[in-house]
Formats: sequence, structure tokens, C-alpha cells
Amino acid sequence: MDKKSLIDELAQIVGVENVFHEPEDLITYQYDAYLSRAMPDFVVFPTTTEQVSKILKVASREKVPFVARGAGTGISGGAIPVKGGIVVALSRMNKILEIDFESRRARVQPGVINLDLSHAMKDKGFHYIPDPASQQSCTIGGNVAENAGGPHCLAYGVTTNHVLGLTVVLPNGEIIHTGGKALDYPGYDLTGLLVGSEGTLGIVTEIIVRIEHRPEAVKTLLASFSSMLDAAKTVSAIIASGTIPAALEMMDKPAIEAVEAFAHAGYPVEAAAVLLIELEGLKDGMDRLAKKIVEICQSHKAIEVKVAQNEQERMQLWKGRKCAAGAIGRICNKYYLHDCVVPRNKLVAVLSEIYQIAEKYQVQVANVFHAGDGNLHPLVPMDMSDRDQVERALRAGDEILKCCIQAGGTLSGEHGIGLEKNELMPLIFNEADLTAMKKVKAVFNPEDLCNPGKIFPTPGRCLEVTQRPR
Amino acid sequence: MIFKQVAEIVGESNCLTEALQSYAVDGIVPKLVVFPENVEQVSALMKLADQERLAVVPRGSGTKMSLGNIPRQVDVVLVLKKLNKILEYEPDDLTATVEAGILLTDLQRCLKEKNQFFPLDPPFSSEATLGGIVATNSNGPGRLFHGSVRDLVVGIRVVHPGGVITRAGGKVVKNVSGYDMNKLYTGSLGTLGIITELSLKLRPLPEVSKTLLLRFSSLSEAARLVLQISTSELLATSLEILDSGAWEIMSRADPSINPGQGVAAPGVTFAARLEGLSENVERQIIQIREWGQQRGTTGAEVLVGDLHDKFWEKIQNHPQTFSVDASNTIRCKASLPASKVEDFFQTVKKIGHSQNLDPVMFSHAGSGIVYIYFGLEAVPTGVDRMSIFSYIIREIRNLSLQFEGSLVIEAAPTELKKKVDVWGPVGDSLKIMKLLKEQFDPHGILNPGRFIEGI
Amino acid sequence: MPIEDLLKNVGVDFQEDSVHEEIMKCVGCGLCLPYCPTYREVGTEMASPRGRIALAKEYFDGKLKITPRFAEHLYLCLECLACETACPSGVKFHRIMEPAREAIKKNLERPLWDRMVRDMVFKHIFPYPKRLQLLAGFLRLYQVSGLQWLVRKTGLLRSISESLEETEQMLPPIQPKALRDALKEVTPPLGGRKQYRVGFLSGCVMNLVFTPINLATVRVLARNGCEVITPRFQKCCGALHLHNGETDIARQMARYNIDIFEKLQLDALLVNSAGCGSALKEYGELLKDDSRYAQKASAFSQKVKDISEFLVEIGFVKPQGAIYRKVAYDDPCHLIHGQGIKFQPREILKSIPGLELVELKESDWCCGSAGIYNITHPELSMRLLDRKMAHVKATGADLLATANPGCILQLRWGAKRAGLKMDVVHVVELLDQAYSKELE
Repeated sequence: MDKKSLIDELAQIVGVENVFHEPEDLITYQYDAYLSRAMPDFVVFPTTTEQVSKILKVASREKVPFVARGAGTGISGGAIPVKGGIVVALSRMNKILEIDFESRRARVQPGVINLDLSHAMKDKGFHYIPDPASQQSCTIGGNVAENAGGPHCLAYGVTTNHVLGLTVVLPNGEIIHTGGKALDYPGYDLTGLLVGSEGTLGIVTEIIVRIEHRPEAVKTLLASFSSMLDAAKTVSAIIASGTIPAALEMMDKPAIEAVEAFAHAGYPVEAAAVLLIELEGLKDGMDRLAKKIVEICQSHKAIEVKVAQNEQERMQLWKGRKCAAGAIGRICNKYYLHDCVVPRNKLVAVLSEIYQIAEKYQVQVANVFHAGDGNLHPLVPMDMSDRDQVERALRAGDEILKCCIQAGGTLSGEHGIGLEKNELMPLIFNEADLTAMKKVKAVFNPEDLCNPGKIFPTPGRCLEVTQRPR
Repeated sequence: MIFKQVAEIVGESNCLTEALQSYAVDGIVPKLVVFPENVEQVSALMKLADQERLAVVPRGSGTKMSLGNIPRQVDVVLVLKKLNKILEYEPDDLTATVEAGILLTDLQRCLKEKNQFFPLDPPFSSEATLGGIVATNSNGPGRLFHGSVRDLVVGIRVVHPGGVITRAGGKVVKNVSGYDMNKLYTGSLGTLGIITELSLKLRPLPEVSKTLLLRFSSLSEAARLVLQISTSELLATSLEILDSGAWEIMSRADPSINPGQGVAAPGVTFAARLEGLSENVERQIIQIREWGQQRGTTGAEVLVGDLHDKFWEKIQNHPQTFSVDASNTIRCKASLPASKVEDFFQTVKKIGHSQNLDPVMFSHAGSGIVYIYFGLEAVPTGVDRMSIFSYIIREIRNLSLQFEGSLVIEAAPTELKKKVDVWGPVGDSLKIMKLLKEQFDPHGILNPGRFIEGI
Repeated sequence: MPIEDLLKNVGVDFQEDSVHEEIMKCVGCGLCLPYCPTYREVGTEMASPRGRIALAKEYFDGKLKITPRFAEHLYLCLECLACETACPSGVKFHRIMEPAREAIKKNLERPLWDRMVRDMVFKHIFPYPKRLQLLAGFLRLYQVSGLQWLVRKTGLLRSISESLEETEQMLPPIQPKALRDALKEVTPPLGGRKQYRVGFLSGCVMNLVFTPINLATVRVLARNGCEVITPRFQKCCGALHLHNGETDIARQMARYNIDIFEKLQLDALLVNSAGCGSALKEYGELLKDDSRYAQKASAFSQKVKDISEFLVEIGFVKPQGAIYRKVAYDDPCHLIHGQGIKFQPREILKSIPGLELVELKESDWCCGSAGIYNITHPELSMRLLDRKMAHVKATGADLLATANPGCILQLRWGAKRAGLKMDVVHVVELLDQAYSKELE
């Protein structure tokens, strides 16, 4: 089928005003928030599950690849149409369909913005818990595809722990429903399998999520340390003490300096590391708990511990953390934001190794991360006018990842594999492990039209593989 | 011939060929029971079984063998209890990796030394193995706060038909590398592979743990109270409702759980498990009591220490608590949106009464889970019991579906299973599930027929 | 992705010019998207700041020619600058958008009619105060003569174009010349001694349509110890030209205004129109490559202050007269996003006894006025306006305050469309009113 007839057919499904195919349109759909890009052939904007189904039927009949897209804030290239084809843009499927406070469930379309959902329930004191850094922009559909995390996932779990049911259009256009408002439906947990499948198993068009009452009290502390090691030890000590904070975030010296230069969040510049600790729950006992945390920090040589006394001070303490990536972006014109996880008792060792790697490649590295669950985010600045520096930055990044894996960690904690790390998958999974995943893909997406080129290493590409001891 | 090959793999002392009645599944006696000692042996056995098309039934302590439809075939029961080691325990990381045959109780004992626990409280607390718990997605009242199996397993090792060993997930608490295969295996009743190893998320033990019991004359007030709490800022670990029958059985078995007789029959009992800092436990007790009074509670008890533990052990082990005679009990589990619990309770009672039956019911009401117990003996002999029960189950199932939930028969006599599907309808995702089964177990040797729709 | 592929893919193609410098600051995170009103309404990446930057980059990299579709995408932008406030990397979006629009202007043949209208407005009217006044005279005649009534009744304009009709209905009454002349070139401080000598940019639209606001502004300044100089022969600030690719004309006008005000030895140069203030504060950037004016322009820009910014800075006299009403405040884009002024107007409103300030949802969203956006994109402009008015209605306020002439016009029209009986006023008018009530 030629391009013209395909456009006509797509236009019949969604209306001519919802199909885009001119270069001036397609240019803006080459990218997401990852570095790479690739040009699609069409962008379509469906508004219903049935339209998505019809689009996929056409695509699978014509063997045209397709990829779903939310807000395009993913950082592993999940929404980049590497094989061209159709971008199924879900930004207009942005309705909150149902909020059932008594059952603590909401049913939404995939294009609903994460933070909008919480705002819609604010009056009733409810919220949707997973809070990725991009929650102001990113969509619930994208969160489902990537199994997004966020600072408050330490205590409450990531997206998959909050998603209970899905409506999915399979790559062949069939519509299925998994899970629902209740728990424990009979059969395989397809909902769990689909969350985090990075849009390679189908297109999710409706999502049932858990919603919860907001905590009664929040206490936020900022502890600064003169050594990174002390800060990392404090993290382990807090975890071991029997307290799981709602959030436990860490920033190292380069990050603090960048933040202070641009945001003036009031972090002590002389500190080598700061911990941002947030406690949530009932107000009763909160002060005692905070005191206990302060004591742990002090016994690990904290040079200062600030406790926010009101909401304004709390926002001020979070300000630095929230704008950290942006602040680092102001120092350099690009940076590579990594995402890896290590066991929490290995934090100290891994961080010191990261600094050594940076030194070896003569690049800077700033760390801003979810220390509480061992989810590191080393940021390596890149100078795009200097090819050699860029290459060194990328190589350092690779080595940092490998070092995390050697420490018993994993490739990605919340950003996804996408096309960023697919070639690295053999570092943590052997052929048999990957084959099991490919069997799943073969069931849902046998022709590999649905978001091709993601997650799995390219067949035939040789990679020197040193697997971690298993 | 098969025995010889199996014995070569696991050693003769790890094979049983006689007196296998106790390993029968729905009356079907296996030819062989094997006790592999390590994952390599499991792999070799699975390779053999696949070649020889032997139907394999994986098993831990056998506490949930009643779950599932009647198997098409049972050749080998593969008992994993000898894979019972803790492979890694990292208290500072709050994670552990264990072999699948370890008893939950053994794991908890070890974790307790470090003031930690695996926050899952499924039935059969002293016998159940981790592998069995995960394979059957077996949960308890604590899921309201701590989540369920799917939320707590971070890594898994599985032996597939043909003997291939795979891993998924990892040992860290946050991981999006590749598909989340943990979820696929959780609750799959061993139909895709045999779980041999699990990595788990742990939690610190709470500082204080107490129980508040309240008695209401009507179910409605108890159910409304549960919703009032679960939609408030309070953070209960469990919110339960017990009907008068359930309470009677519990308090008769151990009168000490009602020390002041504050919660005397008849009526409906509400129970909240409150944990955490002492200050907020006390505050929640006061707050919930007050709300209870506003709803006309007729009695209250606070349980602490041993009594608290005893009470929750009975709730957790409800199949043992409420089925006086296991072989003569039908146990159904309904999963519903939490707001539908009250309606469901009332309607099920009506359905039971229409057949002159009074089922024992209790609910993890905060999570929308309702258990219904029918004693076979309640129907007089000479009447076609199975017809009556299959009618009742159809009615209750329709009700569950109408409420956007589901109904699973967790235990029932084989005769009844011949008449009703224990799982109920799966919906439009069945085709995908069948294809998954074909991919992972092309010859259908794992638990054939026990899972949904003949899988 | 293997490093070799990535190196090829990211294209280390850094170019050393100011537009590229700005473009490269964008890391493509997409955090600006939800703050962009057009993205929110339209939902396409082309209608988002990140998409516009991507398009501009393709053009400036020489990979894309300017086409009508390219222009269409870039002109859908309101230039409300909400994206600048949202951007964590500090991209100054307008520094990409303005050169891009300038390039469009130079490279694209617009449809004749469109070009004629724009040319008339930008080239032949706004740069010339006399002509603007003449036009105002005609408009006033049109309004008072009954011709307006006739035109509206007969639906004459609708027969030409619906958007033209809508635009005509939005036309505010032009103030009579006598009132306009009441604005003196030098106004002495009221009462006590002179504390500040300030210049006042009376604005082009502001002076014709909103003469009372200008008079109120000058009175408020005088009340706060200012000697106010309002040069008669100042020109339009050039903001509209800048937003519409007429950069050269904007530069000419900037040079003229700098010359006029420079010699006056002022402590500050005050503006009561957010759009003008924003443009004046950018003169330094606009003329940075002009060797003769670069330094002067940057000194000029540093003196420019929005009226509310200045009043709060000097600790304005708290009014004693009361206004018993409920007011909602709508942030003009070029005040909140363009100049980062958010709390000052609110502080002024809160200082007025009896006045209750209520929170307006999405108050930092563009009302759809956006310079001449309501003329060029009437449909989208009205969608934004209706969204705004729905939020205004929800506040239950009977007074709506803002701080920019375009916004006032648009919001008045919005109130009319929504059937809301409410006054739309400038913040400074309320302060002036409160001061004047002290005398009662």
C-alpha cells in the first residue's frame, strides 16, 4: 500500500485533522528525552480504544511498525520510532474516567498527566503515589510502559505496585482487559507483565490505579555531611534502624554546588553530600521519629541537620533536589543521566568507584539519587563541541553501569532499557533468561511491529560480555 | 524404567514409589514422588519429564493442593522441601534470597533475630513454603498495608519444562530491566515452570502491634467503618470483618481472645491490626473506637501481646480455623472492589439462607477479599449436595462478576469440582494466557488441567 | 545504544552563534509541555515549546527550509513564556523564537491579505505616534457617531469575516483627546519632598485606550514621593514587532526610546503594561550587537521597572481607603513569565482595606490575548479565553485585576462572552481608588 492510501485509511479512522505526515510535523516526533532520534512516517492521534484498535489492525495488515507515545519524557528512548512507521500519540486520550474513593481506585486514559490525576483528587485529600521527577509532564500511560519510579516509591512502591487493571490493544488490533478494580483475578498476572514492558507488548488505552489518602503529617529533614562516605553510611543506618522513610534522597558535592549556583536552595556548599529525608504518616510520634533520624545522622558525623518547620521550608529543602538535573544542565550544554541500582549496603563502595571511573576518564560526575532504594543517578556532563570529551563521558557511563552490575545491581531502576541499554542486557541476563522474555514477546507481538528495536539486544551484534557472578 | 532414570538424578533415597495416597491430587495418585536436593536436579528432572511427557505436580508442604481444577494427569509429584536454604540475607539492604522450599516460619525466625520480617502473612503459617506461597499468590490480612506477593518478590529463578533454568528480576528492590517476569510466575500455580529461588523485600518489625475489636449489631456499620478508616489518613495494617459464625468458632476455640467478653455474640465483629510507633497506634485505637461509638458499637476489646498474636494467627490460618473438617468444607474466596464488601456479604447470606445454609464468612475488608465457608454436613444426607452447592457457587460467582470482582473456590471436594470450574471466567485475555502456556510448556506437562480453562 | 552509534546519532554539531547557544541549552526533557497553553489545548508536539525548538533547530542547522507549515507551527505560539518559567535548564525560549520568526518574515511570502494587514499595522501605524493618534481619532468618531451601532446591527463585518467581527467587538472605546492630554509631561510629587525622579512610559495602546489607567499610575507615583516625567514624544516599545519577526523595526524604536529617556537622569523608568516592560527589559539583549547602543541599551534595561515591582521595592504607602469587593488576580504572561513578577501585584491588592483577594486557578496561564494572537488565531484564542473565564467564574469574584492592556481588553471581552457582570481593572487603578477614598 502506498503512503497516500495509508494516510487516507488512517484519516478515515481518526479524522483527517488527526493524521500528520509532513516533514515539519514529523520532525517533532523523532525524539523523546533520550539522546537518539529517528523519523516516523505518520503521527496519529486517536481518542478511543476502538480507534487504536483500528489503527493497529491497519498497521499489522500492512506490516508497518508503530510505537505509542505519551508526553515523550522517557529517557531510555522508549518512544523513539527507530524503524519509522506510525507514532500513536496518546496525548489526546487524557480523560479521567472514574474516581472511586471508597474502593480507592481511579480509571484513567493513558494520556492523563501524572500530577493532574493527583490534583483532580486534592479536594478529597487523595493522591496517586508514584511521583517520577517529570510528574508534571509525564503521562500515566508512559509511567505504565516504563514502570516509573520516583522519590516516594521507597515506602510505597513503584508504578507496578499501583496499577491493577489495564485495557490493552494487542499489536494485531485485538482488545483485551486485564485485572480490574479488585485484586487477585484468576489467571496469569498479565497486568504485572505489561507494566514495564516499554510498549513492546501492545498499547494500553485504559488504566485502573490505586489511589490513597494523603498522609496526615510530613516531616522533611536535610542532613549535610563532610564526606560522601558518612552520608552513605547514614543511609544504611537509617534503613537498618527499622525506619523506612517516605523518601531518602542524596546529592553529592558537584550536585550541591550546581544547585546552589542556580537555585539557592540553601544547601551548605561546604558539604560533600546532603541527605534529604522525608517522613510521612500520622502526626503522633512523628517528632520522636524525626529526633531518632536526627540522632542517627549526628552519630554518623552530620555537620548539620535542618528540619523544615513549615510547608514553605519543606518546599525550599525539596527545591534543590527537584531542580538538580536542570541546574547541572546549566553548567554544561548536555549531560548523560544514568540510572542503575545497587544493593543499599553497597552504596559506599559503588560511589567511591564511580568517582574513580570519572577520574580515569577525566570527566565530571554529579550524583543525585534515590539513596533509600539504592537507585543511583550519576549525571555525566557532556560538551557537545568536543567529540573526544563526549566519547569519554559515554565510556565512563558504560563503566559506571558495569561497576553497579558487578556489585550485584541492575541496569535500570526506573528509566527502562529502551534503546539505551538493550545491547547491555546480556550483562545481567543470559541467553536463557532473555529467551524466556522473548517467548512473552512472541505471544503478544509475534511480528515485532510494536515498538521494535527496544529492550532486546540486536541479534548478531557481538558484545564482549563479562557476566556478573550469579 | 522412569524410576531408574529419576533415581539416577536424585538418588533412590529421594524417590518414593509406594504409599503415595497422601500425595494424591483430587484423588489421582502419582506414580512417583521425588525430592530433589538442588536446582540442577530439578532441571534434570524437568528435562526428563518433558522428554517422557510426564505430568509433573510441583509441591511444597502440600497445604494448597486442594486449589485448582481436577488434574488431567499426575505422574510425578515434585517436592521442593529439600531446597530450603537461605542463600543470602542482607539485613542492611532489607533483602534476602532463599530457596523455594524454605518454610515461611523458618525464614521469619531467622529474620526476627535482626528485628526484620518478610511482610506476608498467608494461611498455613507454620507449614507453607515460600515457593508454594508465591506459586499460589497466597496472601493474608496484612496485605492492606504491606502489599501482596507480587509487591514483595523482586527476583525469581525458575526451571522450565526441558530443564532450562532462568532468572528474572534481580536482588535489588527497584528494577525495570526487561519484562517483569516475577509477575508472570506469581500465582501461576507452577504451570509455566518450577520456582526454585526467590529474592524478597523485607521490612523492619514494627515497634508496637495491637488489635482493636469492636462489636456491631449490623454488618452495615462494621463495613462502613472499614471504608471510613481506609479512606482516611489512618494507616491500619489490617481491617477485618467476621460474621457471628466466624467469631463463634474463633472464640470457642480460644476464649482468651475475648478476655473481657466485650465482644460477645451475636453480631458482627470488626478487627483492626494497628502497628508502628506506639504514639500512632494509641491514637488510632482511640480514633477508631470513637468512630465505632458513633456507629453504635456494642462492645470493644483491645488485644496486646500474646492475645494479639493468637488472634491474628487464627485469622491468618483461617482455613484451619474455620474448616473443622477439611475434606468436608468448601472454601471460596471472593475478590471485590472494597466498596462492594457490604452488599456482597448481605447477598451471599441471602443466597445461603435460600438453601437453608448459613455460611461462615469473614473478610479482609480493607482489601476487598471475602472468604466464604460452607460445611458439607449442613446439607442433610440424601439430598443432592453437589447440585445445591454448584447452584450456590454459580449464584455467588455471578454476584462477584457483577461487582467487577471474581470468585475462586480454594478448596472443595472432588465431586464438586466435577461440576464447577474452580477459577471462573478469565475474560478476553484467555487467548494470550493459553499462548503463554504453550510457549513455556509446549507439551503441557506442568500441573495439566489444574489452572484456568484447562491450562 | 553502543557508543559508536550514539556518537553518530547525537551529532556533535555545536555551532557558535547565539541562537544555537540557546538551542543547545534545551536537553529535551519535555518538562515545559504541560505549562504551554497551546500544547495543552492542541496536544501535539508541534504546538509545544520543545517541538518549536526542534523545528527552529532544523532550520538553523540548515536542514529544513521555511515553509508555510513551518510558519504555521511557529506562529501558533502565544509567546507567553510560561515555558521559560518552567524550564529547569533555563532556556530563554524567546531568544530562539524571535530569530525564527524573523527568518520566517524574511523568507516567506504570506498570503497577500494577511501581509497587508500586518504591514499596515506594524510598518505604517505603530511606529508613528501621530498616525496612531489619527487612527484613534477615527476610531473614536466611529464609536460615538452611531456608525458602530449600525455596523454591529447589520452584521456587516460578519459577512466579511467572523474573526473580524469578533475583533471589532473587542475594540475598547477610545478615550477623548482632552482626557489623553491630561497626562502632563512633568508631574510633581504629592505633598512632601521628592524622593525619586522617575520616567513613565505611557505606551501606545495604553495611552489611547487606557488613559485613566495612565492617569491613575501617575497619581499613585506622585502619592509615593515621585516626580514623574512622561516624555510626549516617546514611541511604541516594539514588543509586538519583536514577537512577529519585525526585529529591525523593533530595534529602530528601541534606539529612539533610549535616546529620549537617557538624557532625563532618572532613578527608574516605569511601565504599567507588562508586555512593554518585558520588551524594554530586553533592549540590552536586542541591541547587544549594536556597537553604538549596546552599552546604553543595557543600562536602560536595568532601569526599567514594572509599576508593582517598583512600588513594593520602595515600600509604597499603604492605603487607608477601603474597597469592599472580592478580587481575583490574573497574571499577565509578560509579568509573571517575562519578568518573574508574581507576588508584588498581589501584595498591593492585599494592602487595600476591605478588598478580598481570592485564588484564581491557572492564573499564570495566558488569556489568549498574546499581542495580536486574538486577531491572528481567533479560534484558539477564544478557547483559551473561555477556559480562563470558567476559572474566573469559579472564584466568585466580582472584580478581576490584571496588569497589561492586552489582557484587560481580552478579559473584558471574556467576561462579556461568559455573561459575567464584573469589572476588569488594572491593579494600579485599585490602589489609586483606595488612595482617593482616604479623602472621603
